[in-house]
Amino acid sequence: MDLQSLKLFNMAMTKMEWAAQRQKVLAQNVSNADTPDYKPKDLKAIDFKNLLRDEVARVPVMRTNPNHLKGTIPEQDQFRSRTLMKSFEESPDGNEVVLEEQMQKVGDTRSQYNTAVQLMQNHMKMLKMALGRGGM
Amino acid sequence: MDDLGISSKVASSGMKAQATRLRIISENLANADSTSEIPGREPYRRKLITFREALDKSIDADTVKVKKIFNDQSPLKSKYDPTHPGANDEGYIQIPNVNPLVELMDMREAQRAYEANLNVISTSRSMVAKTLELLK
Repeated sequence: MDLQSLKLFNMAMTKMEWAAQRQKVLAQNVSNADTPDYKPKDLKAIDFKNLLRDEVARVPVMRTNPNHLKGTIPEQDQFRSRTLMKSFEESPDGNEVVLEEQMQKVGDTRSQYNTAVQLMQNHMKMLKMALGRGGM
Repeated sequence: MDDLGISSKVASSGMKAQATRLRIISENLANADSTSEIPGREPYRRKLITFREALDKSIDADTVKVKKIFNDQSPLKSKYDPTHPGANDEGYIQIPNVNPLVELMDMREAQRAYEANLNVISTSRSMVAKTLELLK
């Protein structure tokens, strides 16, 4: 049995993956804060409905040869990123990134990630306790 | 590469772009009084820099790159200085179209964007460090 098959760990892992991927998307926004016509992106908030739909809808193309293209369905990114439609402001060069907003999101993502890590740590302690090695 | 590593890499591309921008600004400021010694020849022209988003295929993320560095074609100012070796028959010399106030504002903006990217890197690193704490 691996830890992934335990629901508690699985949930925390999903949350961590989501936060890590969101961090990547936010980093793209921040680094392109002065690129003309760049529109910021973000991930959808994690919820059961979205997860289920993505799980059902994703049928990647089979690759039988390493030279095959990977198709249009992203493999790496588990969660879908989307371009934000509504923006707070648009600069004259068409850029819509607001650094303050991005920084707030970065901080928010970090605390969510830390929460998930903390949860995992606590679950681990519970397992250790069950094994009789004194979790606390 | 994991998402957190990618976000650091993307942010570092933003830092590189902003650093190049800062270099251009310092060139403009340093040459704010660079005139020509030969009458009729142009003095220093202000340089401009633009960015573009660039897809880095190895990490599947939008990084930022310098698109173009070019001369500002706005009209040059002239100053009355008959003793200057570069003065024309009427005693005027052409001076660069650099406005130190504009350059200083640009510098502030570059600094702010640089700090935002730095913040993303330090946040990503703290998230990685938090994950490594799971090993304890």
